[in-house]
Amino acid sequence: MLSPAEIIHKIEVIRERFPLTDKERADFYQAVLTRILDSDADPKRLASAALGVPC
Amino acid sequence: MLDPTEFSRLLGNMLVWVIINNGNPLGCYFLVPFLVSNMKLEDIILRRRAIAQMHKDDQAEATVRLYRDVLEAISHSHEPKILASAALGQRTTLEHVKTALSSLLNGLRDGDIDIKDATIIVNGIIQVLP
Repeated sequence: MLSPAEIIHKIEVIRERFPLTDKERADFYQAVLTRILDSDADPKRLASAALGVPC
Repeated sequence: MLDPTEFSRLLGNMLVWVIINNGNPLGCYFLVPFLVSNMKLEDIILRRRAIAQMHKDDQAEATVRLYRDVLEAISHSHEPKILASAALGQRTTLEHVKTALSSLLNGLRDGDIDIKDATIIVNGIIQVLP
């Protein structure tokens, strides 16, 4: 199981691969939403990392 | 107590969600924390329905928009897990409601949410508890 910090790092790495296709981006956001549900990581930080905006 | 307008809105949200859940009253838990969200439960439900009706070529773009809007709401929300489960079309759990309540209390403590909104939410929860 990844730590919250590792999850956020992975999200940032994937986000930096943008532009993705719409399908890829939908899958990425869905994965982030799933992590928000399932992990102990701060949901606001996960969401901000996915969007590339400051928390 | 809730004022009549607020209660009507609460009831409207509850009916929407009960229908969505095929009458499962556990769905009622879902509505309350959404009163403080900038993204309402019914918005998410309606957008998910609309996406399901779209041509397949258009679904991915609309899904990206929905998920992005939900993530933006989550980034400044007191009920992130409930928003996430709504976006994914999942039922919330009592655990998520407890988390939302805990987050609301923290918001109250930190001054991120005012006492009036918190009172409405807590009263709403009492109304829908079995």
